[in-house]
Amino acid sequence: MKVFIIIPAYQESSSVGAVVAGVRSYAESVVVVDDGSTDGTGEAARAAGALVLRHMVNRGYGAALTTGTAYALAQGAEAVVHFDADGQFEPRDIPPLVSALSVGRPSAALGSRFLGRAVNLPWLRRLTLKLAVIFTWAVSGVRLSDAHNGLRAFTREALALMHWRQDRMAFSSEVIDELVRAKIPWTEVPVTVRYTAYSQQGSKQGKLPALKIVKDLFFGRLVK
Amino acid sequence: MSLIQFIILAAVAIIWWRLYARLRSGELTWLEFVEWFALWLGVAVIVLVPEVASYLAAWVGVGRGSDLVVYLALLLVFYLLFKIFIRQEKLARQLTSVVRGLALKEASPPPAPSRGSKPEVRP
Ligand SMILES: Nc1nc2c(ncn2[C@@H]2O[C@H](COP(=O)(O)OP(=O)(O)OP(=O)(O)O)[C@@H](O)[C@H]2O)c(=O)[nH]1
Ligand SMILES: [Mg+2]
Repeated sequence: MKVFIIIPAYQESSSVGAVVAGVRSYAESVVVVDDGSTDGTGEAARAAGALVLRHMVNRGYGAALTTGTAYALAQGAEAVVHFDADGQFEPRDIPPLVSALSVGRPSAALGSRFLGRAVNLPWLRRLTLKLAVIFTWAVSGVRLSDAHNGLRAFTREALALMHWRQDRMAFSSEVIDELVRAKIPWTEVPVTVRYTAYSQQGSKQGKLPALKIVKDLFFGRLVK
Repeated sequence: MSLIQFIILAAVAIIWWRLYARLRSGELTWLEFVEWFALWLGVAVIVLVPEVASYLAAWVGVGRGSDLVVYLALLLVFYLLFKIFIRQEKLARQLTSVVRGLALKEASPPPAPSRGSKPEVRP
């Protein structure tokens, strides 16, 4: 199967190279979307062997994944995997994720750190992640064990049915809503997510990211 | 006429004139023009005949006319804020699609896909 890995990256020059090197053997192509970084993220990714798409100005996590996914489809990808640039995911979680897809049919596989392992997960993050699970259950009507995990995979057929509009972190919620709307079958797959000093330093999402996500979801619904 | 009445009426006159200019230049539709004109007409009436506000306030059950005016003004500000939020969300999406278009255009494509017909690119 022709698998493309899409890595959204903003100011991740110190981690993106190792991430690209780590996932390369699992895919036909690794695409890093450098989202207006000013620290050489794009160059580091290219040096590690990724194809780099560049957003001239920062448009956010969801916008970058949508750009990378559109590119992969245009290149004939049969499956697309989303993978974070900050080194928190394990490259060897990719094959089970891809095997969980039904080839040639609309299908999605969602990584779950609560079925798998969350290493050194801070209690506050655990709390917001659990709230996200409840929120997703209440708003989207889906019971997931981990609602905001950036490690996920889709078949081409699933991507053709979905329509993504959220530019920022609310994207992760929108993906679930779109799976429901388009009636795409999904499964959760255990994955490992590691919390490190690097992953915790200087949050890029600003204060109270969870509130921002709820606000984005609300206004996102009002704009066609 | 008191000074405050004069100032407010002068401001309303200027706003009317600006509205008319924006209607002429096509920035406003006729409906929008009429809405805004009527809103400021209401302001002018209340400034000229403040008893109208008191009468309306008593009618809807709010204590004083000036209270009613403040409540309505606050509602209007919230409404405008809401509209600005939505407009900025729209602009953000348009910016994203421009940025995305450039990113995809500048991608140095590796060898074209071997199979399949025309590839689909979503906006
Ligand atoms: N393209 C793009 N990517 C971003 C942006 N902000 C964060 N990212 C990427 O999104 C991924 C996840 O970001 P994190 O800040 O770790 O968010 P998270 O994984 O939901 O939060 P944690 O559970 O605390 O790690 C990383 O690969 C980041 O580089 C952004 O503005 N644009
Ligand atoms: Mg992270």
